[in-house]
Amino acid sequence: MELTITNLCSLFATGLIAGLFGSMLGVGGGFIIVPLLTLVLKLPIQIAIGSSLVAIVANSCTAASAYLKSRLTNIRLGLLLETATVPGAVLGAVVICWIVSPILSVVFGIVLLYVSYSMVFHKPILSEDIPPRISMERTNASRRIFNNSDNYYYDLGEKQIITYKINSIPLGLGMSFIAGVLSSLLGIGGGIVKVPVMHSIMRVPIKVAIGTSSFMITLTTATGALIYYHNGYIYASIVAPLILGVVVGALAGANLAEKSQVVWLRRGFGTLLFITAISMFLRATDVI
Amino acid sequence: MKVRSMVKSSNLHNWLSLSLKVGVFLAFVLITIGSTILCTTKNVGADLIVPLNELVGKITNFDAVIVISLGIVVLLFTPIIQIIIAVVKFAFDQDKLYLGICLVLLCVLAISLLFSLV
Repeated sequence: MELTITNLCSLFATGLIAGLFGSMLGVGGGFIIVPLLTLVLKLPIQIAIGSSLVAIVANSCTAASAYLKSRLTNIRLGLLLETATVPGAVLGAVVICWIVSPILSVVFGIVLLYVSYSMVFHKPILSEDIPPRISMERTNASRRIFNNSDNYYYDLGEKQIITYKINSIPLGLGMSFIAGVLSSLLGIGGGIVKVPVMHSIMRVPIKVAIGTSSFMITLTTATGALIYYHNGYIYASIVAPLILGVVVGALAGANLAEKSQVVWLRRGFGTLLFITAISMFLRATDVI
Repeated sequence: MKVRSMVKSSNLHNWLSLSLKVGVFLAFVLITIGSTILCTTKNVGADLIVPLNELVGKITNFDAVIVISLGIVVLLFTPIIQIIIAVVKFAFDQDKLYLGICLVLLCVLAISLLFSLV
């Protein structure tokens, strides 16, 4: 890719859009960065994925820092699940060398279709409306918190301390491994797998699931990005404007999210992702 | 004793939050400086990131790609530093279970990276 002011501005704008919509809609920037880099800027998909992973590290570090500060992160659970996610991320980054671009585009398109369907029909990926199948233990009794010092958080909305128990850890570890593979293979954070698994299977409250997923994504994407770095898929002129755009966009998006109609934004964005998924399929078959 | 355990847990949240903020800020500053140099010098072509093993030797050269590479390395190692902070904290708190989990995670990370980077 030639180093021109136009290209640098396009990359900065890509990062800005990813950071802005990513933080407004609660999706990782990968679903925006990879299609924009491959379809609009015509970069090879491996370089797009490597660049996306580095940008997601910047984005998720910013988000994870805020969740940690609000104590919406279960550090112990995150560290435990990362023992499975990290090998998955390494596997995904290593096997990409043997996967041809059209297959990657098709896999990415399929995942995009799932995300766009979830957004348009408001299926919860990162939303708060997954009903727990069993009731979570909610109590103000401090004794319970002290018995389990990490499995609680203070809910600002409900103005009470909520405690919870974690279930199905082996299944959670298995799914975390898959999330790691998908993350490095597609250049995404993997939150689309981690959050539903933690919430629906492991019974972790959604706010904590999002915070913990954000904490985990920093390490998962950094692991994958280090391997892409070593394999020569990371370019300074591509990654630098992308990171700067992502950080600025994420900061702006966090402020705009409170003022905007997120439901309609999700639907509009979901439709756009559907079109992008179709474009990825067309690119895989060399139609575009 | 139990209250102290809760307070210690909150301290870990604060330390990790701070380490992420500092890491991202440092990386952002380095990448901004590097990008400014890149734009002003129009260093066309030489835009591949400097490999990790060569970065230390070339660090004295104030070249755009080296400064950006350094920023990216700082960014990528920021999450790994979190685990090291957690190891120190769990060791200090004598939380043997999670000290073990963190050490396993560090070993998995080291083995995986060594295996894939060689």
